[in-house]
Amino acid sequence: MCREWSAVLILLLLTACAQQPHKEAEDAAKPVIKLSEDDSIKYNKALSDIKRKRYKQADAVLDKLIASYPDAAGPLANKAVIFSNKMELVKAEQYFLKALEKNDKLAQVRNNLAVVYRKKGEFGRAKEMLEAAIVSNPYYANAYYNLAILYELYLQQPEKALENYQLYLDLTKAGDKQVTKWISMLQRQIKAGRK
Amino acid sequence: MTMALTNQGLVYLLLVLFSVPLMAADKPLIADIEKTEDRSYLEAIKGRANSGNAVFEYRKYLQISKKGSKQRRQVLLRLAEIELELSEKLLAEDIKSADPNEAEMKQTIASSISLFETALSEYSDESDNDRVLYQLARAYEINARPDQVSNTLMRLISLYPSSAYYIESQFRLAEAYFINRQYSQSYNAYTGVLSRQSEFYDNAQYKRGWSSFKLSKYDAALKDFIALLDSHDFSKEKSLSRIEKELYEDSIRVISLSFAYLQGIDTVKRFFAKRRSASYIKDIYYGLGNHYLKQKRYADTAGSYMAFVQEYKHSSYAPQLALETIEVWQKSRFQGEVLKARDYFSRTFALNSDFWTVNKKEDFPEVIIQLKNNISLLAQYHHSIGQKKNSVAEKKKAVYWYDQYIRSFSNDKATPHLHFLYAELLAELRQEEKAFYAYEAAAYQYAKSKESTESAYAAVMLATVLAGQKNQSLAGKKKWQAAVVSSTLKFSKSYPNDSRLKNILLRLAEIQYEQGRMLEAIEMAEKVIPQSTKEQKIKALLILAHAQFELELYAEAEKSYSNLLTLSGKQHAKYKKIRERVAVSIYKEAELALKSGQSALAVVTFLRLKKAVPESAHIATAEYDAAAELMKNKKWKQALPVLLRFRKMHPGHKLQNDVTTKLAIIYTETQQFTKAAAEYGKIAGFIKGPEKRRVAYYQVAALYQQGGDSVRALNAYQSYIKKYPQPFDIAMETRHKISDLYGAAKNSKAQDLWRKNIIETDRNAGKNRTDRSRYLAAAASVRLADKLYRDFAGLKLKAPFKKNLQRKKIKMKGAVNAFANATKYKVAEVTTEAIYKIGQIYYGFSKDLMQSERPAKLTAEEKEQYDILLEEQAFPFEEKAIEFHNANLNRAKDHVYDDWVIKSVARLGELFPLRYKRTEKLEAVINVP
Repeated sequence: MCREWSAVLILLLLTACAQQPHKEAEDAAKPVIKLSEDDSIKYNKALSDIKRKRYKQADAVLDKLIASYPDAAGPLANKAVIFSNKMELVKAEQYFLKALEKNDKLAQVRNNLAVVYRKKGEFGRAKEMLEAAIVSNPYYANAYYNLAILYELYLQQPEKALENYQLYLDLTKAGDKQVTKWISMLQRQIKAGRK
Repeated sequence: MTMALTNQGLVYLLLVLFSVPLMAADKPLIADIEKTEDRSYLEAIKGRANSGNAVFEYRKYLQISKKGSKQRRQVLLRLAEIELELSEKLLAEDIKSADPNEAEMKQTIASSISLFETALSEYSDESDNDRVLYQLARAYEINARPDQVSNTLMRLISLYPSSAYYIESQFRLAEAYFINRQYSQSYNAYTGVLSRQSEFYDNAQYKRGWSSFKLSKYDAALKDFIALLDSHDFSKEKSLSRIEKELYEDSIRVISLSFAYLQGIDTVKRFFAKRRSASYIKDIYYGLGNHYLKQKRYADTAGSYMAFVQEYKHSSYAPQLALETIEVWQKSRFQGEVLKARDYFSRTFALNSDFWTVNKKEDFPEVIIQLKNNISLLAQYHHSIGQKKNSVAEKKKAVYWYDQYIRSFSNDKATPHLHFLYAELLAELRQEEKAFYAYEAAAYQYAKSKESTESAYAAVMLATVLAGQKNQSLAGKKKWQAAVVSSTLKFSKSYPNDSRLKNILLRLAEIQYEQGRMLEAIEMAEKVIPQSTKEQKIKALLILAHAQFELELYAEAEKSYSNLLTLSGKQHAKYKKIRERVAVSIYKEAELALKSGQSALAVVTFLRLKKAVPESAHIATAEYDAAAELMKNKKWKQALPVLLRFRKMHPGHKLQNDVTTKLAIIYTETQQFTKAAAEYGKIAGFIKGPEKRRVAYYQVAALYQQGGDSVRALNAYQSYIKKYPQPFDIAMETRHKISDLYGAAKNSKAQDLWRKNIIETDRNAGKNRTDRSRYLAAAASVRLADKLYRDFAGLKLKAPFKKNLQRKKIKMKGAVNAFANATKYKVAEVTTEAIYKIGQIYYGFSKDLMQSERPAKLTAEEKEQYDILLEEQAFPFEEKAIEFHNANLNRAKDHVYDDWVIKSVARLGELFPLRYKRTEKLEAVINVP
């Protein structure tokens, strides 16, 4: 897809969002499952533990919550995060997928799952998952960023990498100098390649 | 041979003579005189005569009368007749008197004769002289002048052929001839009598027959006698007069004699061939026989009797003559012939013979009795002779007659006994089936007796023997076993108190067992056991145990076998076999437990066998099965000692190899790999099939390796390689393992040798080369390259710089070439590693250059120039490093993304961060519930 067409797509998506402001984001944020107050506290604690790489404690809590809230996607997704961090990629994939079964509109989950696929060398699935994440949430900048890297390094399609870096930049209000350098380099590379 | 007329014949003749009214001329003569004209005279004579003086008056008259006058003739004849009558009276008186007055009689008759002769002489032409001649003949007869009688009668016959006295005269003449033994003449005279029908006809025929007989003209005699018999009905014996009866009997006698002279019985047969219905025929045969009998010609006698019987089997007289035949032979004392006669009689008049289709039994009570006697005699005679001479033929005859008797006289009081004898004899003759049924019949068809009991017992025994015969067909065996069953049950019911019953029931149980009717055999055996002898109990227990065994009631069978052994002790002929049966029962119990899923019980039972029957041949199998079951349930530790004991206790047992196999499994499962390897070593020694043996050898090495015994493992693998260079793949893997083992043992020299071996073998494999062999060779080559890489990396660029730089370049080149060669295998993961390492070599060389020892005594400026120069020298190698790592990265888009690619990506990030250092953005957590 050429950049012009991608821009049109983004524009269309944004137009749709303007008519129904942040509908997808709301859907994603909207808690389908309500945890009890106590469990909510435990869950937040578990998320905090993950960030601190205290996976064992977090894992125990998540297991209980999964048992108590079988329809909840969050605990499954965060269990996948733990596996992913521990480079247990197969289990990570399994739990991310389970999470998506519970809630397929979670772009973050798709993003993280796409990275798992990339680490496993499954670049095609990684690309599909990122594209699905974008469809799920077109405002989710990380998906464009990661898709750009995938195209640049692993799929070696610099034009698409350039396009996705640009879209990423479009969604990043604060800008990203590093990405801007990469874009410049890519543009030169593409130009050199055309010559 | 001449033959005299019998007394009966003479009597008859006289009777005939006197019975004829010879002097019936008396009254006619007087009547004639009364017709004369001289009535007064006649009246006078008559009156005087009546007063007793008539003779005197007549004589006086004759003296005075004139010849030729009718009155004279009348008086002559009247006087002659008076004299004749007087003579007759005198004769009669003389016969009765003790003192006869013969002289007076002779004088009187002579006077009468004279008077008749005178009358004939003086009145020769008188038409009624036939009557005078007749009276004269009569007078001569009284006067005992037979010649004159004959002459007179001949005169009458010749002169008066139409006379009323003609026939009688002929007859008298014939009689006279006959008495005078002038048979030829008498024959002719009788023939004259027979020329017309008269009251003398029968007598004439009778006497003519005799005349012919006397003349030895038997055929002619027979014709007359037969004609005589045919002309009268002599069949109703009771209604015959004495005379008729005697005539009949005499005729029969003469006929019989005639036949005797005419070649006997054959002539009789021929003679009567066309007149079989004559009632007297039987008497002729009989008469002929009797004739012979008087002469003690027994064979001819019997022949005559039997000829009749044979010719007239259906005749009511046939049985009698057949019986007479028996008597004749008895008289003759020819016992053999007696026997034949009895045989013939008994067969011919058997109750099922044709004879009884036309005769009623009730009309022949004596025949029935005789039949019974004779059949009985024949049966017992042949039975006796058969036993004495041990003759099968005789016994068979006896069988026949017993059978006849039984069939014919089923209700006779002797029949039960004969039936028993019949059965016994059939048994002797080995006609077992018939004997069996005969015994059964003798046993149960009649009132109970000692013999019926014996028969019943014999029936059972016979059926038992037959059922047990070795040459018996399967069908026959089944049949007789069924017979034993039925017969025994009948015996049991009829003779419940018989002392032999237990044994019979025992045999029945045996049969039922043999027939496969196990439940019934068990029931029967259990029935026998109480109150039986020790021997019986032992037998019953054996059947019981066997039947229980067959029904897979192994626990019960074990118990029964054990009880049997307890009772019999070691003295039992089959002690060892029964002990073994106990063992098999236990074994089978265990098998049943296995089938029903009672694994623990099965194992315990298998192992119990050894304690129960230590000498059993099944111990080994039982222990083996116990171990197998334990292994099946993964009870390795329990199974192990059982198998080890088996190995020790049963050397040479056929299951030893299996035990080794099982031990190998147990050791493997319990991770006693080196022991398992040892067992596989044994397996390799005995296992059949080269492929299996190869696998076993490989397994030995693998298990030694698994057990950590690398020395034995290496030996085993290397030994394997020598033995099995094929299959190529496995041999290559084995080389790989050897290489690894040497690596683990830190014997890099040996390891490298094997790596080279792998490379070389792969290179030379030709068609055998596979992806795997190529991989192994590639891996080996990359590992060999690693060593060059390490050598290269280990060489520091220090003084003397130029020399070391040269050495390092050489090592770099060698390592790069080695890795480059590794990439030629086109094994992806080897290629990425090799490329990565080439990149690293270049990177390392670049880095080493930059970090190389600087020459001493350089000024600051010189040092700066030197660094610039080094950087210029190093930069191309860095570029090379990026180029090779990027080459690896480029493989990613082709789905080659292994650790070496990932490492190359990381190295690229370090070497060229702007272009390659990228880190994805991840969510640290997914902040949704």
